[in-house]
Amino acid sequence: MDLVFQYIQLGITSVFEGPEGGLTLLPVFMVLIGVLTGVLIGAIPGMSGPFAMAIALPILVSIFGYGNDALYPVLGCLLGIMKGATVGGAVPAILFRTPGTPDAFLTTLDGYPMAAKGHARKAIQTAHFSSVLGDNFSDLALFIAAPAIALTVERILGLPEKSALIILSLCFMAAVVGKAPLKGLLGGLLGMFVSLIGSAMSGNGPRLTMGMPELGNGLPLTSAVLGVLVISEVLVSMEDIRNNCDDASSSDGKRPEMGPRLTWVERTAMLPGILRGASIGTLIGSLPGIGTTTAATLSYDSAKRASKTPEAFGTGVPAGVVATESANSAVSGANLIPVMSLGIPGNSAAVFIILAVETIGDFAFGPQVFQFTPIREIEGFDTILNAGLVTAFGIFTMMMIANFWNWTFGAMLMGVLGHLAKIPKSVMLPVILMVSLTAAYTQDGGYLGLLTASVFALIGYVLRRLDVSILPFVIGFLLAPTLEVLVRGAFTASGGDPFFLLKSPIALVMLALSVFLLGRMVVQARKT
Amino acid sequence: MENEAREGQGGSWNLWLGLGVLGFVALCLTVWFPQDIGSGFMQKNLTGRTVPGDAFFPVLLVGLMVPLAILLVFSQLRPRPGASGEPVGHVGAGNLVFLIQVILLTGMSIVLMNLTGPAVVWLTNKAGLTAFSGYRAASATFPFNVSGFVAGGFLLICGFIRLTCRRLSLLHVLVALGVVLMLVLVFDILLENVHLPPNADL
Repeated sequence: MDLVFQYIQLGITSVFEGPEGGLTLLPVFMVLIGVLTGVLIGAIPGMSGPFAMAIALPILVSIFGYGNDALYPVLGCLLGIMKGATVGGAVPAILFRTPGTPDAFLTTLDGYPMAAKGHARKAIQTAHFSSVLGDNFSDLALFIAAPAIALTVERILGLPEKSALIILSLCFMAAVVGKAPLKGLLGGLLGMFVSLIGSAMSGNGPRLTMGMPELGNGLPLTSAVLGVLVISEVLVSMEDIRNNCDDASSSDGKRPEMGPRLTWVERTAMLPGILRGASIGTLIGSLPGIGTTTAATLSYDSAKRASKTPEAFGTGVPAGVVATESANSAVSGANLIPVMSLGIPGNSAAVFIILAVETIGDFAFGPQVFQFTPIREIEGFDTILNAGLVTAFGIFTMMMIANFWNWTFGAMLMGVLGHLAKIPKSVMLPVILMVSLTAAYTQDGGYLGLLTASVFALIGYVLRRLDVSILPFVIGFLLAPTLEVLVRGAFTASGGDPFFLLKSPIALVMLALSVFLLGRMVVQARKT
Repeated sequence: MENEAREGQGGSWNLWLGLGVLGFVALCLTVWFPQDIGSGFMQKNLTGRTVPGDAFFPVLLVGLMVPLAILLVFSQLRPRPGASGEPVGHVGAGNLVFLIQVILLTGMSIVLMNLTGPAVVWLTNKAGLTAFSGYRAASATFPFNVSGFVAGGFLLICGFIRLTCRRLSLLHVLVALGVVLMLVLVFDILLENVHLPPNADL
C-alpha cells in the first residue's frame, strides 16, 4: 500500500514540478484555460467538446512542442475542454431550448420549462451542480477501476487474449453505435486498413504507398482524424442547414426571467437523484462506443419511473434536469476507463486524448501503465520507477484540478453564457471548417496534412450520409498498429500455428462473443 | 411513395457497398498487395525463422472484410418478409452537387492563397516599394507572408457562409475578416515555427 501512496504522491508532485525541478503552475493554468474554453464552446450551438479538442490539439502542439514536458499542459487543456463542454451545453438548452452540445438535448425537456416558469437561474444551477457532481463521481470510478482492470488484464491476458479483446471491442462498438452494425464493422476494418498505409513492420520499406514518397511515414494522424470526425460532420451539418433552411440557433432570443437561486436544502434533496444518474452514466460510459445520449435517456427514464409524480416530468421539474445532466457528465470520466486501462478509446473525446498522447512524449496508454514497479534509488545513477504510472496519477490529479475549476469558475461563467446561443450555426460551421483546415496544415506539414484532412472528410461525409457510424472507423484507425503488433507477436510465439487465436480459452470466449455479436448484427439486418 | 423509393434506393446501396468491398478485396489481393508490399505474407528473418511478413496483417484484414461484405449482400438479397435489409442512407445527385461546390470552393481558396502572395510581391516590386527576388524571399516578411492566407481564408469563410445560408451579409463579411485576422494573430504572431498556408510548401 505504501508503494501505491508513493506513486500517488509522485503523480501529484509531477504536475507542479517544472523541467528544472522548480515549482510550475503551467499545467494548472492550462487546465483552467481548458475548462473555461470548454464551458464557452459547450454553450455555442454546433460546437462540442470533441470539436474544440480537435482544433485545440494542433494549436497546443504548436505552442508546447512534442517533448515530454509538453504532455501535462496539452493534456490538461484537453481534459479541461472535455469537462467544461459537458457543463456549458446545458445553458442554451435551458434558456432557449437549443442544446449547445448533442448530449444536452434531453436537458431541454425540463430545463426550458423551468426557465419559462421564471426559474432559469435555478435550472442552470441545478444543471451545474448535477453535472459537476456526476463528473466527479465518474472520475472516482475511473481512479479505482482503471488500475484494477489494467492490473487484471496484464496479469491474465497474453498476446492472443489482448488481440481477441481488441477484436471484441471493435465488434461491440459496431454493434452498439449507429443503426447499421455490419457496415459499422466494415468501417472499422477499413479504418484499420487505411492506417497501415506507409507503415512497415519488417524493414522492407513502406507499404501501400502507391509510389507516393510523401506517404512513406504514414498518413498524418491528426489531420486524418480531424477530417473524418470534425470536418465531415461540419459538411453534413452545413448541407442540412442549406437544404432545410434550418438554423438550430434561430430562437426568438428572449432571455427568460432568471428567478431565485438554488438553495442548499434543494441541493441536498437532489443527491439521491444525482447518485442514480451518475451511476448510470458511469456504467454506460465505461463501455466503449455507447454515448452520452444513451446514458441521459436511460437516466431520465429511470428517474421518471422512480418518481412519485412521473407525469410532472417534461413540465419543468428539477429532477428531470438532475437525471440528464448527472448522467451525461458522468460519461466523460468513465469513458477514460477503457482508454487508461486498455488503450481503447470509447468516444470521440477519448480519441483526441489518445491522439495527444501518441503525438507528444513517450507516454502511452494501456495496461502496462499501471505496473507498480518498486521504487529504487540507485546511487550516482537515477531512480528506477514506472514513469508511466507517475504520469497516470498526474493525469488523475489534473482531472481533479479541472473539477475544482468547474466548481468555481465554471459556475460563474455559466451564468453569463446565454448570449452565445444566439450565434448562428450557419456562421459558426464555416468558421470551424476554416480553423480545422488551418490546424491540419500547420500541424501536419503543409498541403499533405490539408489533403489528408480533405480526403478523410470526404470519406467521413459519405459514411455519415450512408448512416454508417464514424466511430468504429476512427477507433479501427487508431488501434490497428497495436493490433498488428499483438497479432504478429501471438502468431510468432505460437510457432506459426494458424489457429493461434483459438488456443487460449479466454481468447476463445472473447472471439465467440465477437461471433455472437456478428450473428446478432446479421439477424438485426435481416429483420429491419 | 417517396419513402418506398428511398428504401429501395437504400437497399441497392447495401448491395453496391457489399459488392464494392468484395471488388476492393480482390483488387488488393491480386494487384495492390503484390506490387506495393515489400515482403510477402510470411518471410524468413535474419535467424532463418519464418515470421509474418508485411502483408500478413493487411491480408487478414481484407480477409475479414469478405464474410462481412457477403453477409451485407446476403441480408439485402434475402431479407426476412417485410424487411428491407440493414438500414442505409443514400448519396444522391444533390449531395454530389454539394460536394462539387465544396471541392471547387476549397480549391479556389487554396489557389488564391498560393497566388496572392506572389502577386502582392510583384505589385510592390513594380511600384518600387520593395525589391524582393520573388515570393520565397518575402515569405518570412509581414504582411507578405500572410497575404495569401488572408485572401484565401476570407474567400473560404465567405464562400461557405454563402453556401450554407444562401446569402452573404455585411456582418458575415466582417465575421470572416475577423476570424482570418484572429487566426493570423494566433498562428503567425503568437506562435513560433508555424507556417500558415502556403508557406510550408515553398
